[in-house]
Amino acid sequence: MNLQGIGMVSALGRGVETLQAALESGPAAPSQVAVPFRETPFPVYAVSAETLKDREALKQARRADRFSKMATLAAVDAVRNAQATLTPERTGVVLATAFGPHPTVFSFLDEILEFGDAGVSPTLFSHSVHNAAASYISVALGLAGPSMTLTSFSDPFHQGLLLAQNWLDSNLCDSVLVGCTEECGTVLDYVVSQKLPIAEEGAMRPFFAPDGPAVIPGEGAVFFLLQRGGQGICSLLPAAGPQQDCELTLVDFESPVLPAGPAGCWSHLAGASPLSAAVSCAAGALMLQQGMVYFRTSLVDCTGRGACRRITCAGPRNRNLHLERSAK
Amino acid sequence: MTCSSTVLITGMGAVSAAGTGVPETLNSFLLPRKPPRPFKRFDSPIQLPVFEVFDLPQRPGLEKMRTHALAITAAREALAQAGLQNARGLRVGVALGTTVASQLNDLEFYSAWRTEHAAPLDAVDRFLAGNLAEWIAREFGADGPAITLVNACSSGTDAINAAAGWLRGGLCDIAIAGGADELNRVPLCGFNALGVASDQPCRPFDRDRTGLNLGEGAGILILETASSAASRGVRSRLVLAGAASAVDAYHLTAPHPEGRGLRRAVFQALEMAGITPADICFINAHGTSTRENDRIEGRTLTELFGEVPIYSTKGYTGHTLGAAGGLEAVFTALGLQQGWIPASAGFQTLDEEIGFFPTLGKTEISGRYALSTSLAFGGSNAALIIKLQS
Repeated sequence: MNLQGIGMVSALGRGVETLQAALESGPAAPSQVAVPFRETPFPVYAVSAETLKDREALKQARRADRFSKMATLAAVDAVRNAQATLTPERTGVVLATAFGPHPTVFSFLDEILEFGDAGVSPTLFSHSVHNAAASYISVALGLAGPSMTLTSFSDPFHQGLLLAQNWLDSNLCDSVLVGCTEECGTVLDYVVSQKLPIAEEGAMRPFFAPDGPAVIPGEGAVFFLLQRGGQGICSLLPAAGPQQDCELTLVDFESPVLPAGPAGCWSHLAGASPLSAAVSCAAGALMLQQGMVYFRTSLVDCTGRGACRRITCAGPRNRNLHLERSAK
Repeated sequence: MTCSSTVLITGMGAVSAAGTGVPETLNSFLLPRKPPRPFKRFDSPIQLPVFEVFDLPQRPGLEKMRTHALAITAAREALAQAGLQNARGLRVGVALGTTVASQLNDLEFYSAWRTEHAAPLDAVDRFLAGNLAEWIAREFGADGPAITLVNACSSGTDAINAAAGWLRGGLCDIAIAGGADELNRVPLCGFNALGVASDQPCRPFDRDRTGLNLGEGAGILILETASSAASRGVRSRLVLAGAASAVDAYHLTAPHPEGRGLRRAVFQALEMAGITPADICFINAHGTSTRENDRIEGRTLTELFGEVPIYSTKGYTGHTLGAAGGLEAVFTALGLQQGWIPASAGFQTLDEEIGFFPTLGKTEISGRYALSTSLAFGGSNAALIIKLQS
């Protein structure tokens, strides 16, 4: 399948250009937010309210929560990035997430605890359902094909790609918007702070770093428009095992080891989250599109610089993603 | 699109208020329905009747993971029927739908967090380890694709559709597919707030229906390629002949007034099965007993299928949310296999706006194809066509 367009909303801003800029200049400093579970500010790669302002794209999602807005904007941008005209009945949506709109779920629990079981908001409840975001995407883009929202903690993006590939290969769809969305929130920040070392000074360390990981939670949405044919940015194949003649491996932030050979790690440019595999894929696609390979990290083997043709995004349990530059 | 490879149903498992296991479920379909009762497992001032499972086999470690216990019970039955104890050594995927098990909605944990801004992480650890499909995959040793579908009330149907796609696409040979959901205080509050939960036993498609009753359960199919079943020496007459899903692109909670997405899902499933509406011998409808769902679904199905017998099993099980599509796929397959479908429990009076009588008693059927439909929040619509081959 061919990757035709990318949309991304993150702490870096909106649009795949923001990822391109971060690949060139490195990650920006995280926000420092006040949290109730400690006295000092907590570092988070949070999406700003300004980033989510788009009256036109969100005109039918005014009541949507942040999770749905991030997803909708990234999906709309992926279509714009591809400059594609879609056939509504032949376009599918796959939204993969680990945690879903959990701040909305917690807001609903707040209502139960504050106003009682019979005093809760129906609007909050309907937005606490995981597939609300995919519904907003369909409405915003007028899509009428299949739409599925899935959860996975081990590899949500890879599982989403398998589903998208299946829809394309079986001719169920001509195009599929597939993406990941994750949201930060105070409770999840607390959980992260209890389970992982926090990069208090702002410099994150991947899990394969010799002195262990240090993380800063991140949030956002990354969507890809995939089609069976056409040139596109690159071809994309989810597969087990290595890619023949792979020139660069993009390793996930959570990978315990760094593979042999040229490798880079960009999955955490917008913070640590289950979005990482999708961010890696977007970074790899940009490298192939721009003809530029980025190695800017002291933790990876910097053996060269320049254009390459094949990149593998290494995932957990040998579930990899092979990217190959489209022939011009 | 037509089927490129046959997807057999080689095992079925069901647990709901209608019974634990397929035999008990079939038996309860022949008896007067057990009325729903206010839920006792948690305290709530909302005393709405629900369909609860009372004899769920207990297992240490699953005390606060009821959805998983329901899923394991149904999966064990389905695997046993398929002649499998587990999935080890085979190429098995897991696709399961749920709603409750996908959310960290533990009120005890959250209440402690709100008070202290710190809380024991047991509930979080349970949540992180408890992605339903990943849990079931570990439980039975399945190492193929594993996804938990969270498409609200069509999750179970969508999971079966996704798993069938894996089989057709060669990603695995066998799939554990369906849905599971437990009764939980959070959706009870939510459906009550939406004004769609009834204080009476539900009456799908009835003129005087006043809303749904929540329920809990799990319904699981073992889907298998014909070549895999043949290599294991397993035979089945049941085939998943068509599966499709389509969205309304209309509204977050209300179905499209003309049933736009439902029509498309049904037609795509028919096309995949290579049949026409005239080939369908009965329909297991979503039939939640809410004003809007039943009006739109009922009118759409009558328009498309005319006099074909239609029933809803929500009067026996309640609305089991993410489990509903899995359970109703099992019930549809059983209808074809047994040659009869039950009464649409709760129905009494024709609704002229809908324009059909659902089944009024045990109804003998003859035919090879049956349809099951699901509609959901988010405008999701899904359809399955099951075939009984000779």
